[in-house]
Amino acid sequence: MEIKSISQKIFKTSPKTIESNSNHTNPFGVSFKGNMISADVFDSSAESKVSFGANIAAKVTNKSKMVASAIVGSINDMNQAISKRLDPIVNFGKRIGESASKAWNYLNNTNLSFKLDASLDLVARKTKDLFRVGNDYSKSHLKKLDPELHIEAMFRELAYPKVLEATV
Amino acid sequence: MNNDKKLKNIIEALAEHENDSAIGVLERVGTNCPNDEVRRLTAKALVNKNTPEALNVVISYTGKGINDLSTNVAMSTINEILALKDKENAMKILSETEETHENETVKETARSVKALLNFA
Repeated sequence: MEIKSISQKIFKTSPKTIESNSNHTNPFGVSFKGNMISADVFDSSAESKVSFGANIAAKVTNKSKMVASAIVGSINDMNQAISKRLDPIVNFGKRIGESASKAWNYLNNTNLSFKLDASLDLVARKTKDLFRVGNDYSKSHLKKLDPELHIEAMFRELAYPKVLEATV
Repeated sequence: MNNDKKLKNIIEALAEHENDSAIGVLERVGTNCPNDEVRRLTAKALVNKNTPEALNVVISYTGKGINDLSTNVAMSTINEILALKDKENAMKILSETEETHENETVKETARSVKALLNFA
């Protein structure tokens, strides 16, 4: 038994039969012995067809995911835009509400006193002014009024102005 | 509308008013007003009314119309009387005042205006 054969049996280092395919071409024009791994990018086998469909599906899914994320993103943006616009209005409403409640509390807690007689007199005079027929001083209107009942008072007030003292 | 404009409109409206009580309002309020302009406009309105009652106020009342203490108001009233188209009523009142009035100054003024009317 040769040592060589023993070592071969033990370590199984039988020489590999290397198929040297001299048909492999390479751009360098160099022939060599060895395993040439041929990897064809455009694999036309059935297996690759399945994977191609899966790729499309994956692409579609990816695309729909992108679209979905864009929609969600835009919804979020919309929500942000809406809240950005509504917040000042809400704050304004809150401020108005606060002012109103402050004013109400102030009125409830404040004591007001009038010199009633003078105020009533002033109110009566001003009310009389409001309802006076002669608020309109156009000639056409005045000519329709009764001279003694209506025009005389208006005339007198303008011709003899008084200084009004109002006390509250 | 300012007060001057309102006053002007009131006086003119009273001058053109159909109701004769307007004369009383002009006499009670307008001719006694401390404002010269108001008195001038009131006298003008009364002259333009051209009724015996209205002309009587501006011709025979002491301190009013042609007898107003303001020369401006008095001269303005005389001019308005002279500008009347129908002077019949004015001539009649002037004559009555010249003959019967108790105040000499008023009589004298009426005589002068009557003379002017005759020349006009």
